Amino acid sequence: MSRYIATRAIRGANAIVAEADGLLNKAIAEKGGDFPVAFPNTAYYLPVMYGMLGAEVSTLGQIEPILEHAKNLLHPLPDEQLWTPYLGETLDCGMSTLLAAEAIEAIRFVYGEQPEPYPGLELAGATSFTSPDNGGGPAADGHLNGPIDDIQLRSWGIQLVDGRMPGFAAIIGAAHSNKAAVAIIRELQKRNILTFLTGNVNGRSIIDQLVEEGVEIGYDTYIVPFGRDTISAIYAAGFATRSALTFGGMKGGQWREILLYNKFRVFAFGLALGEVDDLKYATAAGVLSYGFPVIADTIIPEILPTGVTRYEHVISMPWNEIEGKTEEEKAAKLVQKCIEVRGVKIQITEVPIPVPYGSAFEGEVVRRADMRVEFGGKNSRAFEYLLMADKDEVEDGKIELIGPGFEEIEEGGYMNMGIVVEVAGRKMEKDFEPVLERQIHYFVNGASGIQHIGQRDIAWIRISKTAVEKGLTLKHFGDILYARFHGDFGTIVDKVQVKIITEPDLYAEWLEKARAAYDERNVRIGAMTDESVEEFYSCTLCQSFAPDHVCVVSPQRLGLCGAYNWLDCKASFQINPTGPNQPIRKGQCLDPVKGYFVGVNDYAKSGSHGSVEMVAMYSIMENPMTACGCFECIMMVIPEANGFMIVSREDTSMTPAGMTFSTLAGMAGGGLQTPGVMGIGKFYIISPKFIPADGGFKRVVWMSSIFKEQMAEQLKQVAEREGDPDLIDKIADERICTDVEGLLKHLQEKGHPALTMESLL
Amino acid sequence: MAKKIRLPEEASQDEASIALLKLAAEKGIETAFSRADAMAACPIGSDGICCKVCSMGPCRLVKEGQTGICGATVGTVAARNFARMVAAGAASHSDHGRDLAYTLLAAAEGHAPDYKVRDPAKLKEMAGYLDVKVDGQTTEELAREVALAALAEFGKPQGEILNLKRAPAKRQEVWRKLGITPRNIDREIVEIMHRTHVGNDQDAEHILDHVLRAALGDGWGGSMLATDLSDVLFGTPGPVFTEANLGVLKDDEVNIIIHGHEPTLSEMIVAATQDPELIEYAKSKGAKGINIAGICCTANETLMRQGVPLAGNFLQQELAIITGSVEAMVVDIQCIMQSLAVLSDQFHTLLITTSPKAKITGATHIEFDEHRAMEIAKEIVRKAVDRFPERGKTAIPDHRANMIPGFSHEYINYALGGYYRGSLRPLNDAIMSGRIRGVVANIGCNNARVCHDEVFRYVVTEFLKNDVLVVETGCGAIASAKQGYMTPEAAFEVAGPGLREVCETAGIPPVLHLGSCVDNSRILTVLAQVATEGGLGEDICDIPAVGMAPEWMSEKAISIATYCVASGAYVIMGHSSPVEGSEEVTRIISDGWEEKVGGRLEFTNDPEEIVRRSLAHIDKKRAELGLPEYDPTKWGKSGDWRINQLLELPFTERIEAAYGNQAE
Amino acid sequence: MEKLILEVPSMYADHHVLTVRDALTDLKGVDEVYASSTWKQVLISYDPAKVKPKAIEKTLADAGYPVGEGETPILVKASAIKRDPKWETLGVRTTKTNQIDIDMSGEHRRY
Repeated sequence: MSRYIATRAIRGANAIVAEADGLLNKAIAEKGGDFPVAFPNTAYYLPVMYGMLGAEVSTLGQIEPILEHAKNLLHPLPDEQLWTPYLGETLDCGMSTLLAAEAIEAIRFVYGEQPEPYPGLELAGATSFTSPDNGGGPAADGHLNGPIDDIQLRSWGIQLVDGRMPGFAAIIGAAHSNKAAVAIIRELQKRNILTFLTGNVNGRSIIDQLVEEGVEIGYDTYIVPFGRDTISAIYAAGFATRSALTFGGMKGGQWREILLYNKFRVFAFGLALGEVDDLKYATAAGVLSYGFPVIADTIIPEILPTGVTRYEHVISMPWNEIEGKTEEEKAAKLVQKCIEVRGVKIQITEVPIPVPYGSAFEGEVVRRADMRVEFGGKNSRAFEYLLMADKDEVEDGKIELIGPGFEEIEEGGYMNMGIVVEVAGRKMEKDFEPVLERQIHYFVNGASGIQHIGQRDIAWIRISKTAVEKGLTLKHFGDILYARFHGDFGTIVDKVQVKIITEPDLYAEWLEKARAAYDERNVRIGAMTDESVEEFYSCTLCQSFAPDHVCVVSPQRLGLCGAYNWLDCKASFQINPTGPNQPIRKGQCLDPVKGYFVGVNDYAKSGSHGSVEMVAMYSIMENPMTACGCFECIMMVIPEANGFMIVSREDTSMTPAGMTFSTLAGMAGGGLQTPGVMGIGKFYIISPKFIPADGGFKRVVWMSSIFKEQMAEQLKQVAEREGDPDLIDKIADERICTDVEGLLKHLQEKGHPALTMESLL
Repeated sequence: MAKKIRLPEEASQDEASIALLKLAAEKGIETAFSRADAMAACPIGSDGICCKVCSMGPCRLVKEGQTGICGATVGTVAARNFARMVAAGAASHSDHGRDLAYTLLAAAEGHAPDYKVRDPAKLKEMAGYLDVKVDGQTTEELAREVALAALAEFGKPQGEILNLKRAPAKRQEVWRKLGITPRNIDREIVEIMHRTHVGNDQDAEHILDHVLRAALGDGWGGSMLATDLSDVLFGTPGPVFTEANLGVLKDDEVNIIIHGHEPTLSEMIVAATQDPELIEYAKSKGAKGINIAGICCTANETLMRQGVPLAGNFLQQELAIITGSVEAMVVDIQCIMQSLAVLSDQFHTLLITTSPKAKITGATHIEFDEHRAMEIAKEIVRKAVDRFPERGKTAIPDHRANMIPGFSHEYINYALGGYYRGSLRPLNDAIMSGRIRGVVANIGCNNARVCHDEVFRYVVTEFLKNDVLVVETGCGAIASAKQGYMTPEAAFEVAGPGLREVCETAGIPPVLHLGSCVDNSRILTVLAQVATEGGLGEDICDIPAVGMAPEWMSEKAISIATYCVASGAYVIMGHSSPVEGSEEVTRIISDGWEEKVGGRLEFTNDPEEIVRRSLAHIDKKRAELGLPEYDPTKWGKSGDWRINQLLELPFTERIEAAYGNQAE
Repeated sequence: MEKLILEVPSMYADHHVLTVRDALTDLKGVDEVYASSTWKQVLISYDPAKVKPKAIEKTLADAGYPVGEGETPILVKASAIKRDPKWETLGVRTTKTNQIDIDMSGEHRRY
């Protein structure tokens, strides 16, 4: 601390607690102590209160003891002379501020004042991950985001754990100019840093600046506007707290664990733009306890000694003093400093294209109206094919456009295209082809103004008008792929050449070759069984988030996040032999049905630091595999139906278990072994090794309808394999029932086999 | 041989003391200073080679290879003498702790109605260490169990001292391997007396191994219990504001000085001075009120908990009376000069002895009984007030310094992270980065043969300039307080750039007051936690830290030095070595002990040498830990300096100026 | 246009700024407003023909931000000897390294 900051933070804390107290008394008087309070779509109550104090606050009256605690954490102001120490006291006041701020936002929700109305604003991204409409907020014609929902938190989880999203920035205030605001945001996006927007200076918020400049904000662009005042920064603290609860396996009330989890594993920082007032200092003091440093673009006292945070506590980089000719150069330096101070590790590959690039742009949608041209989709076809070639056949860096570009196509038109990537490398293996090929999706999507959906010969690519105006051509696809394959897979790939093919004859020829290769791969992956290999792979990517969780990936059971199958792990191990995916020798098989292996058990025990003794690869009812929190779906036993339900992360509806996905996730995550509950990747459902110990696929009595749609073909095959071709119809979904009574009725009507199977319990 | 009579400026560094020494000289009043000038120290005794453990002697082993009548070598004699100093020191600290345990027991059982558990949280923490289950008892029940468990530590028949488990695991292992884990507190002290009887343990190294054991029983046993029990009974110290030096005495109020070492009675006297009835009584005698101030460690105890100002340290006890403004000096135990009785007779001052263990011929004895503590305290205050009308001309020096003491180990933890994140991590980080080069524990007495407070002033100033954080207790702490080093402002005025930054971050002074001399156990606790916190090794001996008592004189100081060494610390004692006469013993306690326990004990009377050796040791430990070399040029950027410039601008200019100076 | 600087002690945070600005910019004759919660001051340029400083002050007072009034209430006061009463009531009495710190720090502790 410094005495200047301590004085202001303590003063701000005293003021905000008094203000919260007043608002609470008024709310209780008007609405009653039993009036419910909640943030929308979270299972963690008011998350900071829950995390720090274990308080399951769901009514106004329950906030009272929280504010009492907040008052207990307040301290006197340090004197001008002969002051008494203030660091611990200021940190206390910071926590007090967070509790008071959360109380205020909860009360604002009661009065329909949150999420904050923002007329005319349309948040980017209408994926099903987006929270429906923030709990039916007040403004139908636009509002800010308010708190992030559990579903979004989890879907970002995998990116946070595997480092694609290195951390988050909470911006408070407004930038020096609109141009500076955009430049800072672009720098953060380039590095895939999730950005939260809060606060204002003289009534102007960075949200206003970005909206004025036409920057797309919303989940999809990694820019989440919380609110136009500093109080809304509490949502960032709530997000951090829930990260620890969700991925770290902490329970409410384990404040020390939660705070330290954030200090050591969540790379977040605060960025105070513009002058800093008492409440901003107080809020900064609060997030310091989480180990998050604060950087300001104005003159404020610096606190450079370390300890509460891992690196410096408070840094001042006055905007006018940052070296740089343009706002962009200054922004780059500022963001670079933030990253240094937080110790965020970022690998940034420079991609030489005329549009911004970074995985923050991955989720970006190009709407038809904004579209210059599309490849694939309804009217045309696009395919992508990566193949291994002889060293001599590949000319590194050669990028060819074979055939016409899209210049001749009318605006909003379409054409056929093939992307063929040939790679060579001493460590390259045929098995890596599909792994690398799938990266094309992520790589291409990273460019602002390109939308990429699908894979193989069902790829669908759109390019926006803005991108084309900035000079983007088809050849740049090659530049992207060349740079990224070298940058990310340099250890196995020595040479890369790219062909973009639009010339019809050559296009047809290569499409045929590609399809032959797809078929061959299907056979190869499909033919792999757990018995056919000697080694499984560990995945400890999530361990940075859930310290005791370990994933064991086998050919017939992919990682629960759905992102890593056995081949991916193998490739990952080859690429980085000391990385998160290590081979596990299966060792002696103790039970082929339940899937107990000596090697797997040994590994689980050491990898989980002793908290897991044994893991059954093929059972949910006995020693099931643990999960961090980024699972694609959750399975849970429904005892009444003698079977299991499977609920998708994308399904927000109620389930027959009486809980939504969010609530269930709390039971399934955190590296805990809970028989009867398990997080899985969705393709495990169709595996022949899908819980054979518990009866296999026939036990599935309910599943989110999205599976039935997305995997219709595969599920059909599974039903046939199981000898019951109508099985899928016998399985209920949320359109049929969301309670046990309805479920049983449906199962009986359809004659579901689970009802007559051996009792599960 | 003509003795050199020192000028007051040579006898003391402290301005207030110099003024009073001048007055004493004018009036022909004898003080410890003048007596030290008048009498040289016995050269044989001071070198530790006079053996008087039997009546065949005393044997003075002054010649090369000479032995005693019984054949005891110089090494045996010096080791025995040293051992007995440790025994006396350890006994003093521990007996102090024992009495506090009895007070807690009496309070818990309702026999001492004026005492109660002031700090239940600390009681629970303490219970954990003493293997007392916290299990739904009332505070009184728990206090009773804790008091009994504490008392058991002094003489339990089996096991080992429970607080030892507060040391880092590696340290406990060192003790166990060497067989110096103390079994209980009293036994090891008794065993020193036994071993050093004529014709018993006659191997210097063997004697000195046991000395380590007895001293550990003091540091981690008696002293630590004394600290913890005082905190439970009177509250764990936290920061507080007060003043130090004789200038805190008041011309228009009844001045009562509490002097000695225990907080038990003095806490009551502090409370009694706030009694409206007694204040009225004082007013009836023509005083404006009742002023209380402390000397020695009673002062430190009440300072830390109640903010009672410090009148001075050991060598100022006589000077306080010479001001002519002290109505009563209330003393309990330890470090009370017998000369006070004669001296107080020359003034209106009433010298009141209170401990059943410490009576002084000629003093008024009002024996303290914890069962009627407040009643006795009030009686004492009343007697003091009665003296006020007899006060003559006063000579209170106008010297006093502000200070912020109150750094209990618990508060330091809290100060560095608050309720939610309290730990020593920021301290470890600061040492690891090199902002703080190392830590010095500067403690101990005054010594009339050393220029009063001068060595303290010199070494502390040097350490601060070199970015060394200084923690202090006892009379050394009082010296720095008077120097003004215990203010947060001192960090800006004296400290190097890195230390300044750390002090500004936490809002602390660069010299931390940790309490009385039994509170050196707080330093042990801090060191243990620094070691376990991580990043600075795994044991106390790995930490870049030095302990010292540059103006030491008491046997307690020797005991403290020894337990610090046994705990792994490098300790430098000033003034003279009590084992000077034996090369063998000098080697055993330095190189020998370093090999065994990682800490070493050295003596040197050269202040510059103390600083040189300390910094060399700190840098050596830093290098061994692989920490960056100390480089003050890297630090000092943080702080309020820049925003203060901004504040001077008018509001309209400040808005844009906040973004800094426009680059060219 | 004339300029006026007003002290508004109760405007300690940016949610107050939103209210203060809304109130002032609605006022006829007020041209520009810079409301600083940092310095707790408002800089107003206004047309003296259309609006008087008194009216501006009244507007602020009506919005709940009286000029020169409303210092932050400090709920906790230190004693005469600067002792923070919370030291006793919070009762944090840690005497050893918290094992959670070591566990949570993971490999980061191996400097």
